[in-house]
Formats: sequence, structure tokens, C-alpha cells
Amino acid sequence: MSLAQNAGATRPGESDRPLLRIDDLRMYFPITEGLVFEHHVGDVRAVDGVSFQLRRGETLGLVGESGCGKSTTGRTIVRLYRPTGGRIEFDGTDITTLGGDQLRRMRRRMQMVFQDPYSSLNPRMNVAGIVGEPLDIHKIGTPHERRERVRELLGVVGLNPEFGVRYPHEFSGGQRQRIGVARALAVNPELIVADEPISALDVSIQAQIINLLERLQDRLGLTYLFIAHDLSVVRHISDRTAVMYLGRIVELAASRDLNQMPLHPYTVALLSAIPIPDPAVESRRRRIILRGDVPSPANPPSGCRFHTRCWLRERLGNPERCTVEDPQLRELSAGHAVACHFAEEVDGSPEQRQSTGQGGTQAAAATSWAPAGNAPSAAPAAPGA
Amino acid sequence: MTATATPARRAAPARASRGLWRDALVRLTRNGPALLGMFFIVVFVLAAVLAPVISPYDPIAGSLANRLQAPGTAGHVLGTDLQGRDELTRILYGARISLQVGVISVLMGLAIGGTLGAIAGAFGGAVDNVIMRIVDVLLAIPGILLAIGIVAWLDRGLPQIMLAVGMTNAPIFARILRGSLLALRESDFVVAARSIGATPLRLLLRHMLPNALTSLIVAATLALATAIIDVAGLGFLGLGPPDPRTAEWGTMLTDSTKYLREAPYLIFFPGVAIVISAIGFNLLGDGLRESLDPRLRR
Amino acid sequence: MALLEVRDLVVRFRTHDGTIYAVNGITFDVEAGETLGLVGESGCGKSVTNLAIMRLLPKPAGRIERGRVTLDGVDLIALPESEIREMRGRDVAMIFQDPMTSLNPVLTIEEQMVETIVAHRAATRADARKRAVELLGMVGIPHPETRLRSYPHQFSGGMRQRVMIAMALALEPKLLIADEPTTALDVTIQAQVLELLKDLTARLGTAVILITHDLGVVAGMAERINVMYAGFIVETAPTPDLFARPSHPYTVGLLHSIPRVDAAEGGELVPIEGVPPDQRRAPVGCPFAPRCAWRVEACWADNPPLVPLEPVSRLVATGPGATHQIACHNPPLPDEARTGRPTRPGFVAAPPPGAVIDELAVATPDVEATLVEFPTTDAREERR
Repeated sequence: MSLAQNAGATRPGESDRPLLRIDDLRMYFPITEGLVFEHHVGDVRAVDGVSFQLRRGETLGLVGESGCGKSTTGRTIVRLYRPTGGRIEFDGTDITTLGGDQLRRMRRRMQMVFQDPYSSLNPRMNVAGIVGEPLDIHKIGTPHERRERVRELLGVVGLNPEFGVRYPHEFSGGQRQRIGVARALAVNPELIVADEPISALDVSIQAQIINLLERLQDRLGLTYLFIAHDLSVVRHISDRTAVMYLGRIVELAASRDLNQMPLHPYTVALLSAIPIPDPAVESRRRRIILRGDVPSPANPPSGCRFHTRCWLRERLGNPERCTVEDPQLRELSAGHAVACHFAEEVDGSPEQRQSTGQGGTQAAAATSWAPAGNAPSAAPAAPGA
Repeated sequence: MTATATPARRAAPARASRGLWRDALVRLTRNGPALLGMFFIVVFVLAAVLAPVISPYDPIAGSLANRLQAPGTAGHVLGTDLQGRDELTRILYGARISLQVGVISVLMGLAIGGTLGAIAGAFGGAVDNVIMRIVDVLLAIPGILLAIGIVAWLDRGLPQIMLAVGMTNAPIFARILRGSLLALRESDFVVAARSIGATPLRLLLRHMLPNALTSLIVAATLALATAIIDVAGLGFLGLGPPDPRTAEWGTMLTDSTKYLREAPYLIFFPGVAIVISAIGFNLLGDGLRESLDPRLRR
Repeated sequence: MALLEVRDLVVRFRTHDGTIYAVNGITFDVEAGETLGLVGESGCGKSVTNLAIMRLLPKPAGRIERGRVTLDGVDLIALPESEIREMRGRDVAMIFQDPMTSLNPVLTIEEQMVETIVAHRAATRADARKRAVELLGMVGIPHPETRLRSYPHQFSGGMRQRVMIAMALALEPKLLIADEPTTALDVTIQAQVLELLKDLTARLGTAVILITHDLGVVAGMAERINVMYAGFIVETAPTPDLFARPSHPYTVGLLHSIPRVDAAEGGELVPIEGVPPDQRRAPVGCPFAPRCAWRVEACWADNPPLVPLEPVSRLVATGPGATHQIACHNPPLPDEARTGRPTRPGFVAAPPPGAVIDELAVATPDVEATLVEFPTTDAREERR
């Protein structure tokens, strides 16, 4: 069976089964002290109870700021780590604790594309060696077949197949990322976890890689978990988007819904913070400036983890519920889940409309809603400077 | 801009692919100090290899009638020593000892230290902890003291000197290799290899070791310089080759100290030989560091 | 006379691997109080330009080969080293992408700020300290009195950048150069820092050169934008004009390379093909030609000068009324700028006079290629 035939090829009766099912995934990294005799003093809760499903052929975007646990989630799913808790089910098989050969076999079905095209390719191997390595490892095909396949893979990602003998440092950043994509495709995986695949690239190159990933998905029926910090990129490529904050998913919805009708105060703030390359929109937009920094995942706030920076909580007069009760993801409308006790208050608020500049015409009205609560506490208080 | 110039940005003519090693070599040949270092080393190696060809004299037997001839005397460019042996000949033969002991001791150090470092770096955890504590102890003892101890314990002799100098280098190599392996273990391309299902052995042999090698090569080159000095040092302290007549730079220095006034050149020439060969390896080592360092490259 | 005048600036680096043509003759002005955006990708020369203005080029590799830079009429390139040191911080200050590299890790913020203030202004240490507290408060650092005694690593990335801004503005310089000040920060923190920067410089009347690769950032911050490519300014215009009528193929390409979060639908991205320019080759022809969809024959041989988009009687260099200029032989039509592709019937980009543009790449990814038949995962699993 060729790679092309693999596209969308599902066995009968499987079509409704998600390719990937993540249930209450937890990944803690221990913090230890002591030089010779280490003892455990705490945990960085990088991923702390994440659940979602991924259908075949779908792209799920995982977005959030640094330290939110999105990359750890991706790496735990391909089992670069052994999860602290929860369950990872791939195509009906529990892979949470798989090890050794079984895990190695499973890795043929899920591959990763990495962020940094400079550090993710072994500088001492030539390109053909890098792209063909998964084939070598899994002993697929004859050496001749492998060579042919590598040539074709290079062509597929837009590189000249003649130059497989070259070394990574002879290629530009975008080309190296294409090599990374070719390597991921070598063994016909079903799932590709792309961990910030474009954020290390120049703007003009990013679109090349996005378009390539999209074309490959159409052709090969790939399923993507697309991890990025840039909501506009994620929303462009993903069918659904999950927003993460401090190890949790705070909102999960169809990408369009998420952008037009964000329901979590954090998503609203995140959207409003993204600069839009249009001075007209920028001038009439109102940013929600979140106060302070993201708390440490080693010591997350009680109750809702966002409550220390939440503009809505302040608006509502700091209800106690936010600090004591941990909000669960709940489905507010079909396929739109949010983890906020007061998500209903977000819906229809000027902040929600303003977040992407779509409510721009109400600019006049907008001035009235710039209450002290949202105004940046961090912004200059002007002590007689 | 000049419109008449050759058409813009034509593709570079197809050229053979250059691996990082070849690339590094090209960089090295553009590095002035490294070239100077290589020149010194070539002179040093040629002196060692061609000593019997270059010099008609015997390095051990001399005639007392001929003793302490000043440099420039006919037939004795660098003069003769206390026993009337040709100084140039002794320096050439001394290079043999230095080169032999230097290379073999560094290789021994690499074998011992490299293995320890590879095991520590590849396994990590408790194994790493035990090995590195041993290495720490060895490192805490000054190298020359360790060498003196070994020679004193195992008696004088070239193999003992090699072992002694090798043992002073081994912990350094172990530490360097272990350090780069640990760093590489977390590097993206090793994680990438892990994610495509590479076995631990493959990770070590194909991905980590080839990349850790560069720092080890640099360290070994620099260690050659130290080894040459260490050998001379042992010789100077009277722990050189068992036969006191052997042409060895350090021993030559000791023998001449008492005649510093009459024949200062007997100190000067072996000193220069030691300095030049040590500088040669130092310059080359620094040059290698620059040309092999992937951080200098995109 | 503008506050800063840069005339025909040429900067090159001599390295082991040959000459790097970093900045290739650029000319621009910055008016007092104005914010100028310098936009381009890595290696376009935007950072080098500003290092050259500050005379901070790495020595001995980097050299100003040609050109003139004047600040308030003072020729910065001719200034002796001692005077340029005086000028740094007092007249021109700089903030960098990574504040950690420009703060001394072993000194407290207090020591660093007080030292700067005392060095440039004959102030007493007590006065300088008071001023430092005031500045930290101004940039929104909570409890400035106590925080002053902290070391740089005790601050988060966003807070560190605030400290940097406080230090940069300590002496109320006339010009602030902000080199990718928010690139290393998360987007919500970026919003904080940009807001602060905008507010403070407006209040103090500081002119700003904002260097960034993010067109979104300059859209909201800058009054005027220079788009740079391969060491040349390829388009310059007041911000509204640039976005209303992007006219250089590179600017058009950049705008079509980024998905917009406010777009109603996903929309299609039109990437700029090819790879960033190799600056080790002396520029011949238009530097953007190898990647340009609009290139014509002339582009390969002839580098177009920066000229007004529309004929003007008098060239305006600064301010909101500055002349919109581009360097292009065959600018995209407004319709083409909207779609991101040349749409004139029958137009084909001129082929390069030599062989191929980039031997490492194929023109179009061969997505339809039939791949060698291999047992797929499923087939193998079944056989087991």
C-alpha cells in the first residue's frame, strides 16, 4: 500500500473512533534539592489534568504562553516522557505506560516536528541519512527502496532530491524545517505533533511551511496536533483550538468560534494582545492588559488558576468562588467548552467584541468600559515623573 | 550598483558536499595561529622521525675531549654538552621521547577517560554519580603529584611515565566527554531521534558520540602540550627514563643546571624545544576549538 | 534639520568566511518625538544599522565603510570614542531583545541605575537613588524601593524589560532605539511592555526607532515605517499609507505571509518563495529579485533606487506627511497587492539570467509525487 492510499484509510467500524484520546493527563517534573542525596521538595506541574480527543484527519491547535505546558503535553503524547498520571489512548490502544519495543513500534505511527530547525537535525549526518533514519530504525524496505523513498520525500517537501548528500548547515532555516518534515513523514505516520514548527522561522518563510503542512495533510490524510504560542497561526491551520494556561486547558472550541466568540477571560485577553497589522484596526482596538506575570507552575494559585490576573473577576467584585473552586471544562454551546465559573458574563461583553477589533465601530461606547479594573495596574501610575 | 557585473545570484556551481569535518578543516587552514601551530608540530614530528637521518652523531655516547663546545662550532651547530655529545642530536632524539610518551599517554588517557566519560554520560543516574566522584578525587590531586606518585610506586621507566601522564589526563577527558554527552542528551536532535524510535545504543553511537567528539579532540590536542611539559617535568625531577644518559628534554635541563654560567645554551635549547612543541599543540588546539565549534556556524 | 539623519550608510563585516554586506547605502531621518518602525527579517540589516548609529559594531569585523550619521547636527561617525560614550545613554539609549544580556548579572539594579545617572549627570548618589525609585515606579515595578536592591535574575522577563526601559529613559535621551524589545516575551507581556513604551515616550517626547519583524507591532506603535531587505530600504511610508497601499513586492509578501487573527475566515497565505538573501555576495540587481513574483528583466541587473511612489514636487523625509517611496522596477498594482499575486494577464516573472535561483530547492513541492510503495504501519501490524 502506498503512502497515498493510506490517506483516510480507516478500517471499517473505526471511523468514529478518535485517533487520539487524552484523559486527565498529568506530567509533573520533580524539584529536588541536595547534591549527593537528592530529596524531593516539590513538583513543577507542567501538565495538570488535560483531556481532549483528536479525530482522524483533524488539526487541533494547542495554544498558550511559555510555561503553560503545551509543549510538554505534545512530548508526553508521543511518549518522550512517562506521564505522571492520566491516560493516552492512540487508535484504541492504551500507550500510557508502553515501553521498549512496543513503544518503538508505536512511534512509527506518531511523529514529531520540532521548533528549532537548527538544533533538531544532527549536524554530523547528511540529509539523506537524517530523512532515512526512521526507515533504518524500523527496517522498512530494502536499502535501495529506502534511498528512493528519501529522494521522493525530499521532493515532496520542496527540496532538490539530488542534494541528499549535503549536510544540514548548508541549508537555510526554512529548508531545514522541510527536512524535519520529511523525516517525520518517512514512516507514514498517522499523527504528527508539530511543536512550534514555525516560530523559529522568518516571517516570510513561516507561510511556506504552513502551506506545506496543509497540503501534506490534504494529500496524506494526516492528523495534526499543532502547538504554538501564536493564536493567529493556530487558528489559521487548526479545525479546533485548545487554549492552555498553567497546565490546564481553559477553553476548547472550533477555531472560528474561539476567535469570534471567546468565552474565557484569558482567551479574550490573549486575542486582544495580538497586534494586528492594520493601523486602522489597531487605533480603535482596546487592549486588555493583564496584570503581572504567569504564576509558577510549581505553585499554582488556588481555585481558578487565572484568578490572580483575571480582569473579569475584578469586574465582578472579586467573587470568592474563583479563589476556592477549581472550574471544570464545561460545554457552553455545542463543541465549545470553557473552564470559567463566569463565562456567561464574558459572552456579549465589549471586551469579547473588542478582542479582535471586530467591535471596532463601537469605539465610542468602548471608552465607557475602560474601567480602572482593566486598566493596566502595571501601567505607569506616573508618580510625578 | 554595477549593472555590468555578472548576472545576479546565479546558483553556485554544483560542488561536492562538505561535511562538518571538511568544513572545519577549511576553516582551520584559514586560521593563522593554528597554521603556525601546525608548522611547529610538523617540525617537531619531523625532528623525531628523522633524527637518525639528520644527525650523524650518537645521542648517548660522546667523547669528553669534545665537551662544552659553544654553539656554532664546526660540526656542532648547537654545541656539545658535558659529556661531549652533540646538543642538536640530543634535542632531535629528545623529540622522539616527548612525541612517543605524549601520544601514547594521551591515547591511554583517552581510552580510560573516554570510556568512563561515555559510561557516565550515557547512563547518568547512580553510575554517573559514582564515576564522577572518583573522577573528582583524581582531579583534586595535582597532575604532576599524581604522576610522581605513580612513577615512585611503579619505579622508573617509559611505560610508567606514559601511564602516569595518561592518568593525569584521564579524569579531564572523562569530565569533558560526560559533560558534552549530558548536554547532547537533552538536545533537540537527540530527542528527535528518540521520538522516531532510536534505541539507546543508536542514540549514543550515531547521535551523541560523533557530536561530543569535537570537544574531546580539542582537549586531546591541548593535552598533548601538557603531556610534553609533564614528561619534561618528570625528567627534570629525576623521574625520567631509567637510563640517565637518555636524551630527554627534562633530564637534559637537570643535567645542565649546574653549568648555567659556563654553558647557558644547554638550558636554553631544550627549553626552547619544550616551549615550541607545547605552543604548537596549544595553538592547534585553540584553532581546532574555533573551527569545530558549531556555535560559530549557522 | 531632523534629529537623526542617516545618509548613504554602508556597513560591512569582514570575517574568515568573507565579506558580509550588511547595510548597503541607506538614507533616512528621524524627527524629534517621532516613532519610526524598522521592519525586516533576520539579516536585513535593521539591527546593524542601529549598532552603527551607536558606534557599537563588533570590532574589528564590523566597519562603517561609507555614509554620515548626525544627531542634532553632530557627526557621530567622526566623534572620538570618549565623546561617543558620553552620548550613549544621554542622547541615545538602547533596549535589546534580551534584557538579560544588557544588564550586569552581578550588580543590583540600584547599583546599575545609580551609576548610570551619576556618571552622566553630576548628581549625588542620594538624588540618583531617588530618581531610580521614581523611574522604577514609572515603568510599573511594584514596590520600587525594595525591588531596587534586587539582581536582574530575580525579575521575570517582562519585568526585566521594564527595568531596561527605566534605565534607558533615566537620562531622558532624545532618541531611544528599541531592538526587538518584545520578541522574547509572551504576547500578553508584550502588550504590557508596548503600552508602557508608547505611553512613556509620548510623555517624555522621546523619538523612537522601533526595530521589529512584526508588522502588527509597528502598525500600532510607529508613525512611519521603513521596510528593509538585504541591507536596503525597499519601502518607506507613513504607517497608514504603508498599510493602505503596500507597494513593494516584499512588503506585499510579508503582509500575505501572516494570518490575521481578526480575519473573518482563515484565508489563504501567499508565501514569499525562496530563501533569505545570502549576504556574503555583493549585491547585484534588485536584492529581492530571486524571490519576487513581479520581477522583470531589469531586476536581475539593475538595483532600483528608492523613489516616490507618485511624482511629488518636494520630498518629505519625516512626519505624517512623509513621501511614500519604494525601490522597485515593477510594483504590484493595488489589486495585486490585495491578492498577493501578480494577476495581469500574461505576466510571467522574468527567469534568472543564470541557471537556477536555488539549487537546493525545487520550484514547486512535488506533493503529487507517487511515493515508493512501502508496507504501511497497518500492513505490517497485520502481518505480525
